[in-house]
Amino acid sequence: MTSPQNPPPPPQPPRITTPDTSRRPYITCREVLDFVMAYLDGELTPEQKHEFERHLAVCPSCVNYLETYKATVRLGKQAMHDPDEPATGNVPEGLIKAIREARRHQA
Amino acid sequence: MSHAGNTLVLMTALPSPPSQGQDASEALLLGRLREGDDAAFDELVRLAGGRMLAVARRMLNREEDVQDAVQEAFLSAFKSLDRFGGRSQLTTWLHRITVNCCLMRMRSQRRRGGPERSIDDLLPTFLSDGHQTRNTAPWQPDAASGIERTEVRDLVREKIDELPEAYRVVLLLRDIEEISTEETATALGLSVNAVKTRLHRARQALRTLLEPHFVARETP
Repeated sequence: MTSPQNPPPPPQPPRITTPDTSRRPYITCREVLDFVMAYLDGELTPEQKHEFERHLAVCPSCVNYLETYKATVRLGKQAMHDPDEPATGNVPEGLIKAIREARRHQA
Repeated sequence: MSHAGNTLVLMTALPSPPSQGQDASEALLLGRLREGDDAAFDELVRLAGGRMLAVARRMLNREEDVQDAVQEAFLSAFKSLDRFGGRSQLTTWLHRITVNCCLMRMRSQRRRGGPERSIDDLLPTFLSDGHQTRNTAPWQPDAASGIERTEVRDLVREKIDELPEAYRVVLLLRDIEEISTEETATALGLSVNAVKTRLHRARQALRTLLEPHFVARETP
């Protein structure tokens, strides 16, 4: 019994080199601010995300914008879902009665 | 209720999202409702009414409108109990119906107060080279520290209310009621992309309105 021949090695994929982005112009603040939501929602392609973050690395103003945008969303949710205002308060008896009567008319 | 028919159309357009499904007590209650047990209807109103009132109070200003919207929502739900498939919890389904009833009420109302601000006045501005017109300053780490929490809450609510209506409603549905982009698009008759754009602009506009109150003051 002869040992099977080793199969030929699979073709090698072309070597991918990371493009040198050091000399590429940065995207603008306008582009960053336009895509803040897409960035936070993870909707940017890896290349777009890379460019977005490359801009953030050199632009404190856009970093501040990103952070204050996130704070705005958080503050909105907190304000409208205040724990001091229970989500399941009592239902006014008048409303219960009105619904009961309206249902009887509906039936 | 003149809007009941429209509500049913919108309820079909807003499917109940998949969830954990019903628990045993809910299935029991649903069975009694479908049999027309009067006590079961009162029980459902007491069980779910508080949450539905809270939703309506977030979307509508006048208490009278809030209670009318909740009443409409219950009547619409009662009429279409047979169509409730049980894929989601009853309370989730009722939440969606309440949102729809509030939307219809908002559409039928004229916005009170003066003319709306243009959204463009509240969006960031840029120089011709794409830089921000002015640098964005950080906010205080503990936003608006020194202001009572209830004051912050009231301030943020007031600013949400100042948003142009077409943007406020998208912010309410997406960020506050956590309705999906697709469902929001269906409910408002917009494309998914239009909902995304409006939500982003609504958040940007709200950020602009909040900024003077939260920006960190420079230390001398």
